[in-house]
Amino acid sequence: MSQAPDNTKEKIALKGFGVPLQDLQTNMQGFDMFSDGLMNPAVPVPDGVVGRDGNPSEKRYGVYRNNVMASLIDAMAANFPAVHELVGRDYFRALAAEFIRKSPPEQPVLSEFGGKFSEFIGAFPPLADYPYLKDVAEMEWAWLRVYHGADATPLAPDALTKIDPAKLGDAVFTPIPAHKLIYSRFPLSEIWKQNRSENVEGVTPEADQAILICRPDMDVTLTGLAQDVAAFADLLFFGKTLGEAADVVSSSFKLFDLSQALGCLLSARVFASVHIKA
Amino acid sequence: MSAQRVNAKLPARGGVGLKADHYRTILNEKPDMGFFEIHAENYMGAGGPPHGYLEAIRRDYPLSVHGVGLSIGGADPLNKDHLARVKDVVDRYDPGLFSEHLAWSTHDTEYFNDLLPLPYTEVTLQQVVDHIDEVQTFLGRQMLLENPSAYVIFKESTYEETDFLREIVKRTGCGLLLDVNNVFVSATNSGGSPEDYVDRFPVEHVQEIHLGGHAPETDELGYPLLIDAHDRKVADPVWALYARTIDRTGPQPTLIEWDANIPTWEILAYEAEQADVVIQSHIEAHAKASEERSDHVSGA
Repeated sequence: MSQAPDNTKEKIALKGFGVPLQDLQTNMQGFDMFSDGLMNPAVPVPDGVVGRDGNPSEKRYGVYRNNVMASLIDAMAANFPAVHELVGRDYFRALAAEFIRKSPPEQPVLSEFGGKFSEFIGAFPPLADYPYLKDVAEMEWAWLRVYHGADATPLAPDALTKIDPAKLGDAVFTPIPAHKLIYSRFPLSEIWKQNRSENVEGVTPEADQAILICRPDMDVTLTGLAQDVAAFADLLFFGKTLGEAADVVSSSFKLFDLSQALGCLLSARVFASVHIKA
Repeated sequence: MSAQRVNAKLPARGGVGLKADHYRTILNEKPDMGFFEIHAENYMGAGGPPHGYLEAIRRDYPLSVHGVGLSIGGADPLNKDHLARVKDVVDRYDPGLFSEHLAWSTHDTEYFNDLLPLPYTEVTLQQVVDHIDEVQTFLGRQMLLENPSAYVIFKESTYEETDFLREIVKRTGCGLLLDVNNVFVSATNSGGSPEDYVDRFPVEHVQEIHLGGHAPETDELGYPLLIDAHDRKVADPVWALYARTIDRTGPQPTLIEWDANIPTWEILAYEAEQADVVIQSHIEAHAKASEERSDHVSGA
């Protein structure tokens, strides 16, 4: 069964059948009141939520307030470990709490919570002197998406040798789903290494403007790309043929080396398949 | 791939919550463990290492899937997208059991990531029953409902929790997951007796037991306030309550929940072995008692 049978709808329509409307409304208000104070310590303990003496208990209701915020902050710290390292534990917890109050999760899968964190950091006035933090958060979010991305078998290293060299210019590459390309004017590879103890491969002074994050098998790999290679990769990911992509990039980057660029992307194993455009 | 898997049915033994920290140890050492339990929400990505490891572990061990995000006790309609994702996990891994909580975690559009308590009234009873009907219909299988840990008391409640659960089972045909640590925590926090709770519990519907550690605190009046922290060993009085529970339910798959300050594999596995010891001594005592009974009968 992949669909709920038709009678479910009818059942939902009958939900609360036999219960006076007044009681349903009172009940909904109860959930509203219990929810209101969970993320806001200024809201008093809801009426009727009591301790053993029958009076509202700040300490007892406070367990829920604490569980909610602490567990969501922990989830943010797990998703953004480098931001956590960079700003320190106390600052991170305060920052994450601000973010959570502004953009609380709207669904229960917490590895998918925090997509707006980099934007929030970028617009957070006290962090204006640390502009790289926004990019670090963006890279951590990209890493997470790649980590949980769909699995696919990357192209065999010899796949291109099976293509007629005369037709290579018409080759179209399909990337594996688990890939992201991140651009930054900051040395993210160095920040990453220091705060997440993971190396970005192939980084040179020239190849630090972009980082290719991909997961050809179980492990996420990071590859530093020079600007021209990153532009080339973007065009290929967009579905341009090898010839089209090479022409565009060559016109802007006089030193663009096609075979080196292609070799770099193939060894990162970011492509799942290749076909010749008819 | 599924043909290579061990049978889905959970044995009446100790099992543990599956943690990423232990993936490699489990795959390398293939420890003797009754079963593993996962939180469904941790396996909802499209792919990647969590699924890679879980597929491999599922080949060798039975699995229980425990949801923490359906908000069955809430006043809002269930999140259909989330229910569909739960079904994907259940369909993919063919667990022996699927369970969720008598609690809520979503209200309006906000997800609170905690198992929040509800008053036990005619209105909430009908809500929970409707939600369980919907889950069981959509998943095409029975679910177990777990008794919550509670820190507060609702003045408006008109049902005892054990009666509330009994009525839910009667109306939905769901099974029950009895969390013995939650019994101890809730009873202590409300000034009740954990033993009485277990004695009143509709044990004939129990298909799984949970055990976990709690943190002792006090409220502003000086009364004990136990926190269901899952961050330490199971407390001695909870083990004693567990033995009492097993005497009523008979041997059941028993999960050790340890979700924060996660210990080494050896320490976690040792806790599960303690559950095996309790189950084994129950079985032996039971066998001895029925032997004595039959001696008595034949001697009479």
